[in-house]
Amino acid sequence: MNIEEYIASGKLELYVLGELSPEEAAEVEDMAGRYPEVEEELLSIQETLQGLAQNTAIQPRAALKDTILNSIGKKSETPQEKTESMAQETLPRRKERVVSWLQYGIAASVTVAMLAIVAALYFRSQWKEAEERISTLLTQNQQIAQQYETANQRLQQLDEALAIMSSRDFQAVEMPGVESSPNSLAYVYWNQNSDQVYLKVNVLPPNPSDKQYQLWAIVEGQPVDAGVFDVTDAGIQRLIAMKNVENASAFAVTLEPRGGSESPTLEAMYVMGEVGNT
Amino acid sequence: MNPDKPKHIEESQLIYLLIQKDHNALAYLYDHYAPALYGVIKRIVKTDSIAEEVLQDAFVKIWDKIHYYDAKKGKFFTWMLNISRNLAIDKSRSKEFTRKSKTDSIENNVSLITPETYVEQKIKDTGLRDLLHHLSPEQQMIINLIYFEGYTHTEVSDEYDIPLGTVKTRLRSALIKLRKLLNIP
Repeated sequence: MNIEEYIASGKLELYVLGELSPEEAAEVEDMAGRYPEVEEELLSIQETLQGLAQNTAIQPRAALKDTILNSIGKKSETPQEKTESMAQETLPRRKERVVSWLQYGIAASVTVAMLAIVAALYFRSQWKEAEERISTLLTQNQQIAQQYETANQRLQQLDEALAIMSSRDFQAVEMPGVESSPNSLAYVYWNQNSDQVYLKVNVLPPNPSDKQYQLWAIVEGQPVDAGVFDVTDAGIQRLIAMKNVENASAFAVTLEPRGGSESPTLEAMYVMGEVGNT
Repeated sequence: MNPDKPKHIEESQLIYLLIQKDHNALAYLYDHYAPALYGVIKRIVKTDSIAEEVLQDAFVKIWDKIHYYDAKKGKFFTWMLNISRNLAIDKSRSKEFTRKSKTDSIENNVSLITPETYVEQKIKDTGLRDLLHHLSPEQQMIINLIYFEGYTHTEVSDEYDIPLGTVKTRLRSALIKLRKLLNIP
């Protein structure tokens, strides 16, 4: 590239306007050092731009001069003092800005931190409360579920009992109290087709823990074990399924050692009833 | 008033005194160059209050950085001009500025702007218009965008879809014409 072309490229104008990268600027400076034409052209461009600025100058507000000169600093006697005064006059201007931003920053940070702590404490207490309420509700829920389960079971039992008691297949055998316990009363529901036996205890005293009631079926004159059961203080609301029995003529309940006996203790008989002829 | 206040100070002497932190020299500098620099700044940032702020920043910077000025790299005025232009351009691209003068923002409907309509719409500044009147519309547009709006040549190329080489040669031809108009030998 010859030097006229270089000058004509428009690169020198951009150099003067400060638009070139450091590498490109260094190249222009190198060219200016080697070619007087380039240096002359650079000067000419600068003069043009200066002339343009001066010809299009705008007079600032008169008061601005004092504002600007005062912001830069007051007159000083010696260069040394001037440097110091400048350091005092110009640096504080910047420092103030920095300090005030810093102060605002710190104040803002502290405020935010305090608000955050307050909020955290508040939310923590809210959370604790909520936590407690949830555990209470969970407990209540469990209780209700248990109650429901109990009620449901009870309902099923009653349904079963009702189904059995009202069924034509089951024969009710009333067992009134014997002489030694006249108030006792129990029923056996016996299905002679399927041999199933259910016991309904109406009145029997609670048995001691070392003993159990035992139901006997009298088959052909002989007592046959039909199973054991307990009576608690609450009594027995449901029908108890007992052992299957065939060809029974009567049923009786005795109190036997826990686990039951081979043969009934007749002295400890509470109720007894004969199977009716139906 | 100081009776010894010089009417004229040689540029090298002025720079020397500024390096010595001489406030009389600073006042002299302000009197002689503030209007030219303010004109450049004002045309870039548009608003008076912002222009005043930028002029102050420019003088603070000139005062603080005077010892960095290198006469080998260019004229003193060019150095001050570039400080002022750069501060003004930075300001005009800052968030603060965008907030303050949304309405002044550069039009985006670039495709509609031809050099002729551009000059009609944009150059309402009479002193400048009288001077630029002698340039071709293309030259006026380039001078206005680069010198007074603070566009870089690549931005002009991108925004107005003009090849980079064309931007450079138009800028050059505009400056050559201005040199004659301003009677610079």
